[in-house]
Amino acid sequence: MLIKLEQVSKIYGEKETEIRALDGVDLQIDFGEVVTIMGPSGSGKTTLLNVIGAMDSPTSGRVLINNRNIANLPERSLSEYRKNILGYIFQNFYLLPNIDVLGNVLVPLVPYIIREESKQHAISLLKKVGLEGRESSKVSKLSGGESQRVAIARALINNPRIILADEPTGNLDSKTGRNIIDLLLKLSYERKTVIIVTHDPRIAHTVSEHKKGRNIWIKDGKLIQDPDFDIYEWD
Amino acid sequence: MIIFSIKNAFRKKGTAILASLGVAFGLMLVFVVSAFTAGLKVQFEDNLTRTLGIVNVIETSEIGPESKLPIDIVEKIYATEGIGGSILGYNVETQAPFLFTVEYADKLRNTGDAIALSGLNASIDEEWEGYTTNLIEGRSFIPGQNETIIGTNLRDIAQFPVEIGDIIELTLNPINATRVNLTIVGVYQSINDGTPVFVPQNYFIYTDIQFIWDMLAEVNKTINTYSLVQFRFDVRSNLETNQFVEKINNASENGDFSPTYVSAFALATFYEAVEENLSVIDTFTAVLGVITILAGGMAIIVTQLMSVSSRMKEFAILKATGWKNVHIFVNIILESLTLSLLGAIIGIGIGFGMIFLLSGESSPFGAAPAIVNFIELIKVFVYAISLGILGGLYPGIKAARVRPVVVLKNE
Repeated sequence: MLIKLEQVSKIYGEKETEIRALDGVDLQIDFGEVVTIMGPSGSGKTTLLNVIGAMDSPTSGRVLINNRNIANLPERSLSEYRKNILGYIFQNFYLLPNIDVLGNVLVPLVPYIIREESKQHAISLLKKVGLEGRESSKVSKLSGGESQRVAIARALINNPRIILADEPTGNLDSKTGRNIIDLLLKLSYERKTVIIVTHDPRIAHTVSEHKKGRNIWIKDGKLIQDPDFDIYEWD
Repeated sequence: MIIFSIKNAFRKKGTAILASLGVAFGLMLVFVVSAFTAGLKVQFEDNLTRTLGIVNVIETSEIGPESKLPIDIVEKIYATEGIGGSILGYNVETQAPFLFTVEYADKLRNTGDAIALSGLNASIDEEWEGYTTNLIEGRSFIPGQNETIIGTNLRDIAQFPVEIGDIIELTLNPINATRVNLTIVGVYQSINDGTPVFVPQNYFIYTDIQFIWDMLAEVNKTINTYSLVQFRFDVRSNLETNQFVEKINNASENGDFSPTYVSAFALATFYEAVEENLSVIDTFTAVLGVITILAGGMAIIVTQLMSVSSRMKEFAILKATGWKNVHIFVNIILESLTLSLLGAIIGIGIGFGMIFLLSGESSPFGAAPAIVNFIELIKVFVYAISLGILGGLYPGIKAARVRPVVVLKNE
């Protein structure tokens, strides 16, 4: 099992102001699975993603990644984990405006020596996400869909095992959003685990039709397994 | 990482360039002051070496043309116990009244500047290796031919003809307009003793001492005297030179040269005192450097803090992609170093321009000596690196401590 959460809780505030963002969550996600996390605003879905992504530490419980508990690792080890295991994709893309497309894809490698093979790898990733020949383009010239493709390539540059996507289609039109989801689904064929936080039930519907797809509903910090999303369709 | 940081440093070009310019002006000041201090030091050390063992003797309480030493003073000093045996050589001068050349005074550089006409004994001066042996153009004057040699300093600034063959017209008596012409026949290399040109100074021109005596006899009916006698002593230090100065002054006070009383002084003592004072400028430069680091550091801190505050989201993303705290910190330090080193390069560039202007003949400091050596350049870059690190320290820590989850949640 790649990801295993055991009785994970995340509590913000104290006593009267206490908010249980996660409340005793147990979750297992295997290699190559595609999982959507859905729920209303404030339900704890982004907190769950952040705990898995080592961006936030749980108040209690164990977060096992490849059988290693990352719940209370020091910052240095967490950076290593994020660098080697994780790829993050955000709703707002968060590309660096002053460097070109290829530079943005290579950003995670900047603190290290960027070898020629890394550049070639980045170029191949851009080809994979449909941006072949756009390596030198300014990111300000890209459309929303293209920007998100660059962000996906950036998330893949370290060849991560887990892809975490927080509202990846939130800023995209319906057609572009569908293309991005298709792209993420393809990653599961490379045994990459994809976890998508979304408000969009159409994504959940698409994922539920995927061979290794699964939907998780979260409400008040607690998980609800396999709700029915069949009524939602893409335009 | 370096290229990435350089690009990031100029993300807000206007602010970055302003910060670099702030640093540049501070470092330029340090660079220019250091270069001139180094130049002055070398010059004063040269002067110290050149004047080691030389003792000037004038009539007590009198200077220039007013000093009137009988010509047998040389023999008397030679004959003084404990002095004569250590004298390696001597030279004599008789300075003419400034009245002779007063008409040229307003054709020099500053109010208070004057041409000082002085007479030399050509054969004694030759043995002394004085001005008559230090010609860079033309030849020395021939006694009885009404000829003169002028210094390069006068030639460079005079607003009247001063080429070889030109005439210097002396006014012996302004009332009856008695005039005598001296023909310029040679140019000697004058010595830059570090006096700034805005300080009034005398431009010495030399002719045969007998000519001066003849003119003085005609005007003042005076007998032959020297206004200055210089002795070169066999010494190894300025301390030893001063011992001879003391001996001459003591002998004079004891009435050994009666009825004449003399004052002896060593030029090296003056240069030594000035050189010691240069250490004050060194301290000033160091203080200036510290102030520059603090002021420039503040400029960089403000620029970087503005930059960091607007890029917290970016640092959060970088952390999410696996950057460690130290990577973000180093990135900010490199950005600060980029700004400060650019400031150093601009500062050195402007500094070279300033040095060129200030050390030129037309500058108010009149060819003030400046030495730009490797150490001075290294010093500027050390200051730049220091203020780059200092300026980037706090913004770097602030950026490195960013908590992605907090920043991105606020998004």
